[in-house]
Amino acid sequence: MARRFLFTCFLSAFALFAVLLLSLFVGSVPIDSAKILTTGSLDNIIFFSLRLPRVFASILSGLAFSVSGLLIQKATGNALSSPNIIGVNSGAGAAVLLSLSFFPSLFALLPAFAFIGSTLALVMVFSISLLTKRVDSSISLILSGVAVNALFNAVISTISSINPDVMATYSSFSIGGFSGIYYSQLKIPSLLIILSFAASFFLCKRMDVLALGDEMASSMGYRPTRIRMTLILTASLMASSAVTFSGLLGFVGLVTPHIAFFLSSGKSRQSLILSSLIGPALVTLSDLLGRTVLSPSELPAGIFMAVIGVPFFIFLLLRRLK
Amino acid sequence: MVSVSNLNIAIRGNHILSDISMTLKEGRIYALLGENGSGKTTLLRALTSYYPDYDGSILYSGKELKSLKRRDREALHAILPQSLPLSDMTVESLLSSFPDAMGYLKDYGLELLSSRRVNTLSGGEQEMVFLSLLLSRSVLLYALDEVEASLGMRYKRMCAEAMLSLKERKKIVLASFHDLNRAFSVADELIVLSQGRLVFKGGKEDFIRDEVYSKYFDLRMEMISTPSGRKYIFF
Repeated sequence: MARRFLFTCFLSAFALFAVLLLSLFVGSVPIDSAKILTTGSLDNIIFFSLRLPRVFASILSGLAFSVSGLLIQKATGNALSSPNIIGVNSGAGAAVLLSLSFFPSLFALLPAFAFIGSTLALVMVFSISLLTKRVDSSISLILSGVAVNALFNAVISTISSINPDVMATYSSFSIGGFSGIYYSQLKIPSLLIILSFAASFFLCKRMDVLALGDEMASSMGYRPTRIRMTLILTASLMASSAVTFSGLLGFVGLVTPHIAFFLSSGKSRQSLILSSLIGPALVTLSDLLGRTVLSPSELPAGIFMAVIGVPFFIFLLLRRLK
Repeated sequence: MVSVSNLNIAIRGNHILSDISMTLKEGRIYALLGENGSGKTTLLRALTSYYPDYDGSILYSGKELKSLKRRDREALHAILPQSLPLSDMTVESLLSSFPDAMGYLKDYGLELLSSRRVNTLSGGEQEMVFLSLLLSRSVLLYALDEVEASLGMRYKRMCAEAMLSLKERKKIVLASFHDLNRAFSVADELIVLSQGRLVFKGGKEDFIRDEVYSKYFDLRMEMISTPSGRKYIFF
């Protein structure tokens, strides 16, 4: 069993590595690898200022959304959960739209608005779910997520119908992508994402215990509600950080944990390791396709995420229902 | 020894358990009886740390349950819940964190299940998988919530044998039952709940003498004596 898992890990890591290399060297402008290290050459600028930050961004966002999705699926015990369910997407989306239409001069602060929006959504989801006092079930969490999502989506629709001008900017944000990314945008989010990722390794045992149900988890001394809170907080920190630079790319957070589950025994540690390899590979591949398929014009990564993700997801679904 | 005194559990203002006091001793099997909604599950949960806070006291060898650390609580109690978790994992990986569990499963002749996914097993088979998990944990009190409800005759017998082996290892077994006849054949002592209150705790003779079966369960008792002198009781 352990051997098979190591082999799967090796394959995923290899796939990720291959996609990264391709991403760095393939694009609308061919670059000469011999000239990359010559400062001031066009190849050098394209490689270090355009391709490299972009690949970094796609790795980070793939990692963040996938691990976040895994934690949320484990916390809710629901295979349909993803970062969307705790309102990360709609909260960030509404905040971004509000800032675009009311403070257009503060364009540079868009990531901060996205972060505030998704955090606000999370706080609302949590408060509502705690008010219901259904400590024994994750249903309340999912239902309050649905309610908060509906509210923020209504905000999004309202602004978009009052102020259609902002929709062009908003739509690229809502599909999710990495065009025009630069290093300083990644500083704070990457720190938060890497810290939360490291923290999730300490949560593996708890995720496995939680899967046994609240009664057995309690009988092993754990506090299921506390575990759920910790998981959701860590997950939302990762997803909200990623939303600030990659937009609403949440779908990867639904698909990756399923692929990881399919390829492993289902133990949390294995799912976590595989998700952290597969997620970045998927997002980087989507971005690569987005940049090259209609080259020289670009499509956002979010579109290819759906193109790759949906058939794969349906395949997994059919395999599992058998 | 586990001593419960003046235990109250209220959920959203409803009193589920009122003023429960009792003592459970090592090396005994207790059958927990009561109509639906009488509080059996809540009592089993309360004794296995499901409620972080409770009114009253639950002492495990003199120590208050809710004030103990996680690792200490883990070493005290285990539960086999009535509704089992839906798991998409294989039996083998589910049990991989519980080293001895596979051994118990083998004892039941169910090792063939190990490569199957838990949610594809029959209700009784799932129950046996989680029973193996329960037995693999070394604790003082084992709580079983209507474990027999979904078991066929053969698994029922195995489950009863498991309870007896726990008893021999000087453990406390607290199992809820709906079938009085089964409770009589397995347990040493009977505990009866009615509307969240403890209305009877004692041996089988007292249960019969006090006519508990008719007071709280509306049942009649028949006793058949065989020529060899053995007595059989039916409710």
